[in-house]
Amino acid sequence: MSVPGRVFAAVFSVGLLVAMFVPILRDPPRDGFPLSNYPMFSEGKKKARAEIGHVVGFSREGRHRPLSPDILGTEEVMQAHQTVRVAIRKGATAALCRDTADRVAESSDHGDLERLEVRTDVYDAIEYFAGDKSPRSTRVHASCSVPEAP
Amino acid sequence: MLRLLVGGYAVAYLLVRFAHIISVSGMSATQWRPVGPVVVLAAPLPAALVVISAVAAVLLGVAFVAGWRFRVTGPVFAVLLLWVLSYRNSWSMVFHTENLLVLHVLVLAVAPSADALSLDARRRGVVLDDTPHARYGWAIRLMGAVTVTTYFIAGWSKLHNAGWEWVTSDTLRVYVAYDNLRKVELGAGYSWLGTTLAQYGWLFPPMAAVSLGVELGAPLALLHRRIAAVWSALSWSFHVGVLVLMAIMFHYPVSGVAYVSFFRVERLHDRWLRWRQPRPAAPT
Repeated sequence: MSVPGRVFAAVFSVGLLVAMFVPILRDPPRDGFPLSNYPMFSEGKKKARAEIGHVVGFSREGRHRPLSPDILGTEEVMQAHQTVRVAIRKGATAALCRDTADRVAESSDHGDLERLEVRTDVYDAIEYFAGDKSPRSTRVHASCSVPEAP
Repeated sequence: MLRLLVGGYAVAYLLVRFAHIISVSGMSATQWRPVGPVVVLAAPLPAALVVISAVAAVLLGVAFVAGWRFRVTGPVFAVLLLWVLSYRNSWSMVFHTENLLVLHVLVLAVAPSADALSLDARRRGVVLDDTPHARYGWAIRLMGAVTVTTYFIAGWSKLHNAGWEWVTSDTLRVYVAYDNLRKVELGAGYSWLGTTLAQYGWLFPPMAAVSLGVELGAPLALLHRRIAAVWSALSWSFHVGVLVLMAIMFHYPVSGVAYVSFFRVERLHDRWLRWRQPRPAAPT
């Protein structure tokens, strides 16, 4: 291996590995891409309190169900969750409700829905799967009607 | 062989996820939060440019895998892959499933990864030589170091943010229940097994200890090939566990391709050549 080749390999290797540690050397550590502090599931979480921001559809018969990520414009559940959270944080829930209602109106799978709510429900995550599915509290951020199908 | 496996995986990933990658252009600008090299943009790109960059990444990825004009196409593909995936992660949600793939492609792109089993090698009439050489070995070792560093940092973050209570408390159990609940309440598929096991709190501290051990112990894989093989198997099992309990797919590690730099994958080519050789006729 030539000397310039060795120098390049050494500099690139050390540089890349040092760069990978930069996110955790910052105060506070910082997430990013492709260099990250990989913060997923790293916080201490002793209480089962789960605050879920989501869009819920209500049918004419009074039944309700959460809307799936694809109707929120993504196939990723985490991206859908962020879409709702960002809308709540930035006060854009009315627009999110309207846009989602337009998609619902175009979807044949959601023909029974007449009204949507963008809401935050608080659950106990452990009790939820033990059978107690009722939210401990609910906050409705926006509500809108589903327009007639085109 | 590493270029074929990692590059092939990257191209397949881009094709399978193509619709999702370009769908981000339909998202609300309120979600725009650029990461990586995309921070140079003040606002989202027009949808047409998003599609063009994704298509270009696929085409250059094919050139990368084929080893065609690799000195140019290799680095350009790596940069384009970084750009396309950074862009898709710039909508208030950084997925951590693509970081390692991008870093591996970057390493392969700057190394002489197309000196064998490539169109460039065929054009030059290169004769295959299996002798280990530092010219090639440094990139393989760097890929291994990059792999273990990602795991070590993930483990470090847990200790930094939660301390050893991440292992001894109910934290992992609550995360499994919380993540599945979030999926249910967002109308997505979830893990029945994870939600069932969440009722048995005593199961989770041992699982948390093993998970953290795999992450913090990752650098040991650099000490010896056999340790690397054991660690790779443990790490793969860890990701399968995450998939089974939380319905979260870390596709690159679960596919096994994330760990190929720890194995003598060139033997796959030798085996293939032997398999292709005509067998001597049986004596009559």
